[in-house]
Amino acid sequence: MAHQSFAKTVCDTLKEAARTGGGEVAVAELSCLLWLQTRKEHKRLLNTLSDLTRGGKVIRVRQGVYAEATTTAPPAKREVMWRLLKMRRRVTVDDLVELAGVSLDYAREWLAILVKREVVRKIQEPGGMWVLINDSAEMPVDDDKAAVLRLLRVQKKAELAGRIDTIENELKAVKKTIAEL
Amino acid sequence: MKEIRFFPKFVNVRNVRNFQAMIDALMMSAGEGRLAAVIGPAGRGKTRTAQWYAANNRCAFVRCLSIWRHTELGFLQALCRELGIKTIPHRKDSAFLAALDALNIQGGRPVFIEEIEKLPRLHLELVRDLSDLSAAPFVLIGEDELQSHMQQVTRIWNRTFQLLEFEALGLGDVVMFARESAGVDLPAEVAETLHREAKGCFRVIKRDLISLVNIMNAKGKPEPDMEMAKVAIKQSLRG
Repeated sequence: MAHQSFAKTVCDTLKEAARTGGGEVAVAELSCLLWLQTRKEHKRLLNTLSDLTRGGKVIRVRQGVYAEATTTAPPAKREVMWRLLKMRRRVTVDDLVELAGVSLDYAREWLAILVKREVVRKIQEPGGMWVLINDSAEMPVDDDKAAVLRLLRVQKKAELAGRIDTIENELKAVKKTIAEL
Repeated sequence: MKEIRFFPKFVNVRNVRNFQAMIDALMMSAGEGRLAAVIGPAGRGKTRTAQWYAANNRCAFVRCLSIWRHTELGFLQALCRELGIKTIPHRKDSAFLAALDALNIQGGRPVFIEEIEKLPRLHLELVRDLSDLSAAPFVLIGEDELQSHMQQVTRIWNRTFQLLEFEALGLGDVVMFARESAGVDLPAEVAETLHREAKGCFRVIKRDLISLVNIMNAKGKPEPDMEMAKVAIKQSLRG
């Protein structure tokens, strides 16, 4: 199963809670639903909600109360291609380019990923046609790219933590020197 | 001469603009009567337009299969699948309820059903029930028989908000299509010949235009003439 980000988990939980709770959800309620126990986790939730509000996925009704944004952003090109593939069951690169408005290279790259995942099979015809062979409800995600991005994020975080440690050590040394003086 | 390329591009021809206007009006309507129909002979671009709209607006699109003729379960399961339900129910009533729940959640986006005229009237009644109970708009797409199929059931026809007929492509559409997809400005007489010979069929126009571009590239001429148009028309199949 593909890794799900914390932001997506928050977003999904908020949507679910909003549906049952009259369209609005309090942060405390959301925190309980997500089993968040420490102050640090709660702070992370608040930051995520703030990011989601900025991204237009969530709206802030009033202080501490959020709701699902009614005006949703247009679907990503990848989602449009996935929908077209599900509708048509067999597509050509030209179909994707024409109906999803993507570039030829992007459509080819996406189909190659799906071939690798055994979601589609290429029929060798002049021009090439791809047939859907595994119709799953969820759109396949590009795990390789996501893994690379995750790795980059971890590396960046480690680098920043290292810098903070160095600064803290230096600060301690300065404090020690001041105390000695 | 620089080689002319035919780039696959969705062109907003008159039928597409009418389609969008109809959907916009349908979305603004409220309460009962949220059915619409799109009819027209094969090759006018009904399916392509509906698929383009559905894919770009997160709408469900179901193509009816003849095999569902004897039972509604297949139809309901396909609808559930298109509405993004992960666990598809195996019974008719639960599939109906699951589809209804999904329609209530999806926020009034239209659902496109293609070729429902192939199926018995009961399937139309199902669509009516789903539309009535969820207030979700349903757009039925089919050939000319769809209209009489819908008219046979007064309750359905009475709830039909609008009937859009996909007309034959106009001369302006041919010129616009050539310009946007191949960057070629067709002279008036060439455009007129292509338009007349295609009899308003979008598929034939596209085929003729691809042939025309190939001939232009082979001859190394940047502008098409009547002779080339005649050869292109002769080369491509008509149906």
